[in-house]
Amino acid sequence: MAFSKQQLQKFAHLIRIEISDEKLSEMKIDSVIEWLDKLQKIDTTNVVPMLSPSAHSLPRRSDIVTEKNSRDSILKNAPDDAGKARGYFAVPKVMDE
Amino acid sequence: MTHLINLTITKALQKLKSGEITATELTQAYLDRIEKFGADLNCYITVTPERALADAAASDARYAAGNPLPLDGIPIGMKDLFATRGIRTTAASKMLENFIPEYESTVSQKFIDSGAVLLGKTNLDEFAMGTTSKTSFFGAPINPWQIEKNLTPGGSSGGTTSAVASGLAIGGTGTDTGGSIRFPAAITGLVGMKPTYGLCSRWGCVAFASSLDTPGPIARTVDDAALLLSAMAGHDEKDSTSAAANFYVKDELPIIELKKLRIGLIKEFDSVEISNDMKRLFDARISDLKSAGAEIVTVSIPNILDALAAYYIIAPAEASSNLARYDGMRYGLRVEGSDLIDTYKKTRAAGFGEEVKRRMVVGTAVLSSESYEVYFMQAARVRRLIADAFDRAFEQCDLIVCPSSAGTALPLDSDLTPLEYYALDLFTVAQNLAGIPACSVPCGLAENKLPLGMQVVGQKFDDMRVLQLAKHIEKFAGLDNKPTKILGK
Repeated sequence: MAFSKQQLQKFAHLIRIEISDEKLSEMKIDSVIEWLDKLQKIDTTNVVPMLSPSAHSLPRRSDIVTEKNSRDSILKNAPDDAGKARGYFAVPKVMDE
Repeated sequence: MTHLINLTITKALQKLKSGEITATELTQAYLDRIEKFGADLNCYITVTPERALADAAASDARYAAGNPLPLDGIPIGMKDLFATRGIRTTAASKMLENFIPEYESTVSQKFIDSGAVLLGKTNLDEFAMGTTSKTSFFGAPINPWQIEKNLTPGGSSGGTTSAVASGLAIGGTGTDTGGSIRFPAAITGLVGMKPTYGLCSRWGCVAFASSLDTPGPIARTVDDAALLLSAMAGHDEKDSTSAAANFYVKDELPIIELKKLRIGLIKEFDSVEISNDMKRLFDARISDLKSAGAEIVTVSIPNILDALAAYYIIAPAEASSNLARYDGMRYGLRVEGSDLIDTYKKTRAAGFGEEVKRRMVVGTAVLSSESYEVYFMQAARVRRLIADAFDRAFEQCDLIVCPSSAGTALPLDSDLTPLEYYALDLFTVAQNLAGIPACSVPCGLAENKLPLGMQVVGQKFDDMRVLQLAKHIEKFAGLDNKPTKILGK
């Protein structure tokens, strides 16, 4: 399956990466995808997809607090210092006036 | 101090126990060597000398008190993908250049609990995506074999292989998503073990492709790898895919009798073009095993040559989801834009390198609504075919052997296309898809005097026998991988 330049730009937009058309074509993504097409020829009728090698079912645990009072520790790596001083993550505005 | 650098973990532990050397002496010898050669080899992103000496002093106190831990005083390098509390953890990405975790990964915690000494965090491909370690934001580490040739130590765990082969760590950790422990170990003359998926916890290890990522050890001998794996393995309730399994070896691996083993060769790999050296050394080791009484049979994994394409669908798909978390809001790099979306886009454009971006676009493409069934689910079905074929093969043999790579280490300035780089994973990815254990062990020197490795592959949780057979091959090959010999100093 070949993807158009517009489709590739759409994927880059969906994963929130700014990239020029020129850079995108330099990445040779088409040649990678074209090579992946070889899998289409394999007959997989009635084969159950394998999404993980782990054989066990996902374990459950009681809904109890395991870590608490870790606000300052979590904020230590916050990229915006202005919010950090007030005990918050400061993020760009998401709503219009 | 040279003699200290050439010690294996097994030997070092004997000398530490007998009091012939101290953990501080051993650690200092490594720190001196890092000081001398670390910058040239570029194998560490962060060196932690103060932490190392404090760890060593604590080890010496435990030896003095007569209650040492299993790896007390053993100085290791930790792949910079494992979160270490208070120590920068970068995944070799600009995105995490200044990230200092407030928590400890399970694997690194287990090494602390075993008394190991942390020398530093080793270099790797960015987010472990690569086979040469060239995609590191911090520049590539260098292979100490014929250092003047500027060869790759492999990837993605190339910082650890560069460090261990050159004597800048006695052993270390790697992670293997498609060969990232085994391939670099093979081309640096080391032992690299990818355990069964779920044997070592992934908690606190920066995620690349969660259904494939497998932490494991890198060392100079099979026994050393077994000792490191003993420290790393075990159930962890913080990783939902962690298995209720363990691995433990005391001192050294018990010998397995070759006469009792039936060893399989994968028929489909016969058609793969490999170097004459790889063929010669692989055949030589097979005939060694045969002479020692092992039975050699041929098995078939019909779709094994399709594993590479299945892998390059599944791994990027999982990566594109896993790396969504790097949005510049709570930690990591942030580049301000005109609004929220623009900030995301600028942050991620600046924070990720080209290979990471390529894989994320591919991953998003194969997961898009129009191609989800054709690519992603088809790859997952091929994955099932491969895993089932391994199960059937193990009804006909105990263990399988195959090459680790087609040839020796390439120069770092090789200019291959993305697909040519991906092809380097040909012999290693199927084992990740199936989740089975595989160990690369040196099988000898090529004509150009560079090392080559071969793999022993086993059924799930047969990690012990994988290493036991690898130990026989190691002995047959008799490769001299003393760091002072490799580096020539």
